[in-house]
Amino acid sequence: MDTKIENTKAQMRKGVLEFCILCVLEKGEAYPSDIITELKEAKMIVVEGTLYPLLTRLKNFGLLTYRWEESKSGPPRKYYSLTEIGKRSLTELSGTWSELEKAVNKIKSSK
Amino acid sequence: MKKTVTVNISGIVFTIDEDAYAALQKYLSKIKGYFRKSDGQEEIIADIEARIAEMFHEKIDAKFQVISILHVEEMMTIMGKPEDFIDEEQKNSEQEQQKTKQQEPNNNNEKYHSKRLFRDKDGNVLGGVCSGVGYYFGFDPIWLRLIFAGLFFFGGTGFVFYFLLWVIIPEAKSTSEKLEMKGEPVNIDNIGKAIEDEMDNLKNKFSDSTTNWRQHIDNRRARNFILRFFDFTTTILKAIIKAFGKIIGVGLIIFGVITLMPVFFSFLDSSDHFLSWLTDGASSFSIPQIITLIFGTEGLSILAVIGFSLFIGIPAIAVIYGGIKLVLGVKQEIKGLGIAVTSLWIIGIMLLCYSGYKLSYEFMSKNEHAEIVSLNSSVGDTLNLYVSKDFSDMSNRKRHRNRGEITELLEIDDNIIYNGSVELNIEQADQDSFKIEVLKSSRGKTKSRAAEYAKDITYNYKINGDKITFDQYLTTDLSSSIRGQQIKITIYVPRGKSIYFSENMLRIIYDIHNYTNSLDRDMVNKIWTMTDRGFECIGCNENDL
Repeated sequence: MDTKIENTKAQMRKGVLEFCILCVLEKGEAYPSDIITELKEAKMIVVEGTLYPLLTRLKNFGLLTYRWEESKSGPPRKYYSLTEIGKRSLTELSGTWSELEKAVNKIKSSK
Repeated sequence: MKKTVTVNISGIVFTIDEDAYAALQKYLSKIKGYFRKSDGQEEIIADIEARIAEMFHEKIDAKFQVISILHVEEMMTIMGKPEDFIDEEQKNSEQEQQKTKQQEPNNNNEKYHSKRLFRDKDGNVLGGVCSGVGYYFGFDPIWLRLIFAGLFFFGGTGFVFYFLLWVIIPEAKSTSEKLEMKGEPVNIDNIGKAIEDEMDNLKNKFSDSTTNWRQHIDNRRARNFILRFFDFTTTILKAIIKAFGKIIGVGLIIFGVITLMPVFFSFLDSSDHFLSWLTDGASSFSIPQIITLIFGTEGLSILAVIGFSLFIGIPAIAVIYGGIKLVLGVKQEIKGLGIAVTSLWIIGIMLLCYSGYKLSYEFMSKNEHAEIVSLNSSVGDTLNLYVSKDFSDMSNRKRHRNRGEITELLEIDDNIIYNGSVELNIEQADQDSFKIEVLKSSRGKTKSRAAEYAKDITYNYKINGDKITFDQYLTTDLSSSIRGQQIKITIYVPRGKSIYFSENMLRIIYDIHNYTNSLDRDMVNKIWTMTDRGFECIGCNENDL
């Protein structure tokens, strides 16, 4: 049972995670470390490795784009930002999220 | 003290401890295995590597110039294990796999179902076709290789067929493909295991030598097309050279064995047939026997036998050894073997020279013993010469014209040596009757020894009216040595009288002087008359002479 709960938790976090990434990027372009720091503070993710496949997928869906920037400490960095589609998706997802939040709260409090 | 490796991570060069490198390599392989099905797998890996490079770069300063295992472990904690990465697709596919696994626990064919046909580049000889097919059907690829090699000799069909398969069947490149090829279920456990196996291999290679490592890294770097093409051609060339090496190796082994066999078998009594087959029936005796006959004294013959064996055997064994090494692909050299073998061979030559030198004394002197028979005048004007036929079953053996050499030896049988050194000549007689002279000659250490040997020669011929039948061979007892024993027959023909040579006289007549300078083979089956001009064939067509 434990593993199933763990699994559900992961699934829940997973669904929200992409939304969170879009939220972080709404504030302006950022490179993975920035995004990670923010998500870590919010305890949304534990390990960094999680982020990279998600970023790649969002980029492949056309929600994100990136540009290269030279870095003094290491290899060039990818700075990610929202595309037009990304912005629209974010608006849509924000709506969905509010609805969900309301719905969940309603169900929870109606006990 | 620790050995370090230089690695390029995302374009930045790091010096990294050997153990740290192994851990890093394992970690990255695991990640690669984990993302093998995701879109943009390479990009994800590149991003992760870039992040790793960044983390390492922060650690490096004047004090710590080398990435240690601690740095790698720290990085791994921050990055997380691949299992902890949250990726929906991955989880789903994993769950599906677990489901299928649970559904078919009783199905024995599970392995078979999940198998796919790939070329196995890890267990290859050429393109890994046979190895891959072997995995697919579950048998040892050596049989298939043998079949292909065999088919190669049928107009190259094996080659064409193999080439087609090579082109059609894809190569198992990724870990999951390798697992599918072997029919093991593709799941995280197995991939992890396979990668660990690979890592262990790498480690072993690594501890063997750093150059191997470098080569391995270089191979992995061979990303760009030209390099890949170069890689491809060198692989093919290496394979061709390897294959040729094996074919040459097999050839060498066969050659060596064929050389060695007569030497080996000649020391056995049953060797007669083998040796006579090999020398086209020219001789049928075992080498120890002939050596004893020639060298006489025990000690000298043993030396000669050893010398002969070393002289022929060592190069033959060396050739076989080289062939085996080529076939098995052994590159290891045994120290000092070459010198030892060469010196043995030289010892063999020296023994042969020594016994040869000693032997030459045995041939120092020559002596003769003549028996002359005059035929009475009742014999007609023409003498008919024949050769006895009792030896004709043996005389299919070719007779060599090199006088006085051991190649004249025809047969050893029942303690008697049959020796074919018999020749017949014609001279003009100074009297009115035919005269036959049989000259027995031999060599020996001294004149008297030579005379003894000459007297021991037995030679028979039969006179029956005007028909004389000569034996084709002389015989000596096995107890006497071979010392160039010879029979020279001279028939003295008075003027006006004639000789008829039967066809098989060709076996013993030798360069008979005649007026027309005819060859021996043109003299048989004809009647020759002694005239004032010499020995000539009256009434013969000039074209026949």
